[in-house]
Amino acid sequence: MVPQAQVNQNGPAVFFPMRFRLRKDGLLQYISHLDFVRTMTKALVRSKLPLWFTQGFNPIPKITFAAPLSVGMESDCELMDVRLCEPTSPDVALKALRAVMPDAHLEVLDAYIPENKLSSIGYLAYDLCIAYDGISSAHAEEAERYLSSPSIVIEKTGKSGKPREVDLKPMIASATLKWDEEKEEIVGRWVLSASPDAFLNPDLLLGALRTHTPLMQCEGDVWYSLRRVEIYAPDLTVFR
Amino acid sequence: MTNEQKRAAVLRSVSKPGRYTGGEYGQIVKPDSEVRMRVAFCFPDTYEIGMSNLGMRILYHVLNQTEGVACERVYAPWLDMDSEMQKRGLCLLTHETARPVGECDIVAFTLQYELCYTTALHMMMLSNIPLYAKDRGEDAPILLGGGPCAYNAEPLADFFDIFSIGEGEEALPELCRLYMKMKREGTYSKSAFLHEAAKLKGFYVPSLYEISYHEDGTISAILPKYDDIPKKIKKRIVEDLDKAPFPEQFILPYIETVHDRSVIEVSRGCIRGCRFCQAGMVYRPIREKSPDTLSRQAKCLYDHSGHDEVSMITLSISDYSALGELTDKLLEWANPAHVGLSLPSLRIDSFGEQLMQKVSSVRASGITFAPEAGTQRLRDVINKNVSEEDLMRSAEIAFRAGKGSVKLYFMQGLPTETEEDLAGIADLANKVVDVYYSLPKSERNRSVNVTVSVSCFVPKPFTAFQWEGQDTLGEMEKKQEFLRSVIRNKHVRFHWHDARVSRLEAIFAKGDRRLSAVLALAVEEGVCFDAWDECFDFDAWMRRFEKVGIDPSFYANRQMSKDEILPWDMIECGVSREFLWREREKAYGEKTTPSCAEQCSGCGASECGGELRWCPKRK
Repeated sequence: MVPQAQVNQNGPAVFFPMRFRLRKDGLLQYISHLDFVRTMTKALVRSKLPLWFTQGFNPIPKITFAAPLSVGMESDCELMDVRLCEPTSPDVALKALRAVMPDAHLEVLDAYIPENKLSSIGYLAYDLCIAYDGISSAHAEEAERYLSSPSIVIEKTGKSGKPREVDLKPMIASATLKWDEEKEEIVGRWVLSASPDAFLNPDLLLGALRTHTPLMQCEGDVWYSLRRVEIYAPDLTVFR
Repeated sequence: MTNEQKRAAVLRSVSKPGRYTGGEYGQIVKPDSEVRMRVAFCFPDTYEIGMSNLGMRILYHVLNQTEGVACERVYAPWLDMDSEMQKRGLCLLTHETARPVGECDIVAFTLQYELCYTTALHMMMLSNIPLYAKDRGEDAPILLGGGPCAYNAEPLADFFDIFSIGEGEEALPELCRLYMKMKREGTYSKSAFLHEAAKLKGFYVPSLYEISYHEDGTISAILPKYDDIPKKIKKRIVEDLDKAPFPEQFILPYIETVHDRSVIEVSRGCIRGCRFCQAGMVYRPIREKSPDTLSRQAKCLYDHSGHDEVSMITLSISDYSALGELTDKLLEWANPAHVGLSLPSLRIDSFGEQLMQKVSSVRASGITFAPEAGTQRLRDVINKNVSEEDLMRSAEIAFRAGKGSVKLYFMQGLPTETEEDLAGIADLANKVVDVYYSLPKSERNRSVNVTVSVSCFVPKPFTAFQWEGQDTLGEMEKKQEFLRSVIRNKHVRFHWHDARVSRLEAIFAKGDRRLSAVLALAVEEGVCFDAWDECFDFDAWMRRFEKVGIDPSFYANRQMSKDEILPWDMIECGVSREFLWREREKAYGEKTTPSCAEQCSGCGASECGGELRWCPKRK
């Protein structure tokens, strides 16, 4: 596929968009989004790909990320859009970036010419896994029952500092929680809204479950893992 | 729950967990089959600070290049992590392979600053390493100290096994090779190793030196316990910096650190001879890298990092003999790559428009000058050879270039200081403001802002002022009050340093090994991060001194006599004691000493060898 040149609205310079899909997990889930951005910016510079720089007084490479990932969350689908100033094949871009990545827990999975704007993402799918002392199948059942209730209203502090009530339910496409007898863990798959005007952070939903059900209520450490596994368009087809 | 799950729970609960993950770009992990010994290289402060340290970057590279040696990094966990670890009984781990620090063969600490001593000892405690060297058995690691504070590490003498004096690039691999050889040949025991190491050039084994004292508390003798170890330990230097090992790539932290940029080391040593400055003495003789080497190293670092800034570090960049050539060479590739250059500090007398245009850090922000003292008389005493005219000229260049803010660094409590000298600080600041107003409105920034930052003088070993006492705490605070009363210009802001911090610094800077008692007590009480405001508790320190029966003013405030045996007298830093005393006498005579570029002052450092471009004696 031959990349199509696009014209920057603010100036005459032509650029070629490239999208990378990355995996970020293991200990590197504790790297914040801002640090992830900095890390990837440096890696792109090292890759010697023909980066397109902004045309202002202080030129910087133009790099855009989809929905920031919280600290302590893993992902198989971090999307990063980069502008290049020369037509470059995705294979070449993939190889160049892979060669300069810091650690196996930060892997470039794919490179392709974007088909949709990052702002048109509809949903994100998460896998989760929870363990703590005193965990039981009853906790899973009660939590799942709560998730299937007609509304899940929580109090959220808005930008003005005033608390307001928000119903999370319309932002949940689907959500399960099942008891894994063998591992004594609770596992689930949640598909949550990720559109710019209705982004549901799974941590918020976990907080609601902790408040309203026995889930994760214990004296000692609670361990859980949250992993983004797929990105969907608003019609729930895979986003590209 | 598995251990991994426990660790995950801890990492989720602490601030900035990214500083504990490891796995950064450029870290070195050797396969076990290639490793015959492990060195845990510890920086006794936070990850963010330690990761910016050039010395540690160089030595990490050098040690890992040594066959058989694996060097791994260790930093002090921040307070929240520290308490989570202690709560769960987790020990301190290395960054690269998450190995318990206590299981390494050598545990090395770089000692950058006196107030990091407790943090270093606290890290030993977190690693389950017994504090006192005498309590550590054959299985315990060898505790090695180095860095600027090793020139007088006597307060740590009872805790450490060995100190590396001077530059470590050649010395540390030698020490490791000795260790591996003795292990291989089966001749190793801790005491045999330390005895052998004490014969290597540049290593000080404190337990092999007996210190005796006069009744008044001063030292009567420093004697080696064996005939075959040196009476005086000479520091090590790298003779030719162009040939000295330098990393091709830095480890790139994920999280933001203090200095997120490539760094090249332009030169070592300083041709000036400011009489308060320890770095200016102990890094002599002056050695420079060539512009070719520097440009190549900078380009290589850029290729392997993606940094958008290269910083040139040295004690005095404007004294570098080929500065124009260097900046031109760097800009040749840096400009097209959108990489900026930055300089650490500039001398007032050499600050010019041309240089300013080339350097982004100067272009971007305000500008900093360090006159250090308020009057010409006192500047002559400390041998800071800059004049008021130099400062005003430089300020004018800065203002004409559109700068609105100028920072001025001073010291209070310098020897022979009077009220007039302190008032001179306010005068100088006012005159800088006047320079701004003397310019036509069209040629200056819309506003002017002069910051006066005044630190307290701390007498340091191996300076002309090593015999001096510091002002008492009361005197220091009274002077700060006086400065507040005379700095009355609305365009001038006054910053002062906590005098109590400087006092503690002076006590340990000039301390001897009897201070180990107070350090051990502090560590037992859980003290660490003394250099951080949130942890520093001066009153608690004074209580500790009282409890162990040590008078801190004996160290900080006492004027030492010419012939007194100094606690650091077993160390030779290159610059001779006679020279330092001569400088002290000249200080009191208000006489200056020309820089090495003008005339040799006979400091003695040329005896260390090295490529001595500046040293007239070698020409």
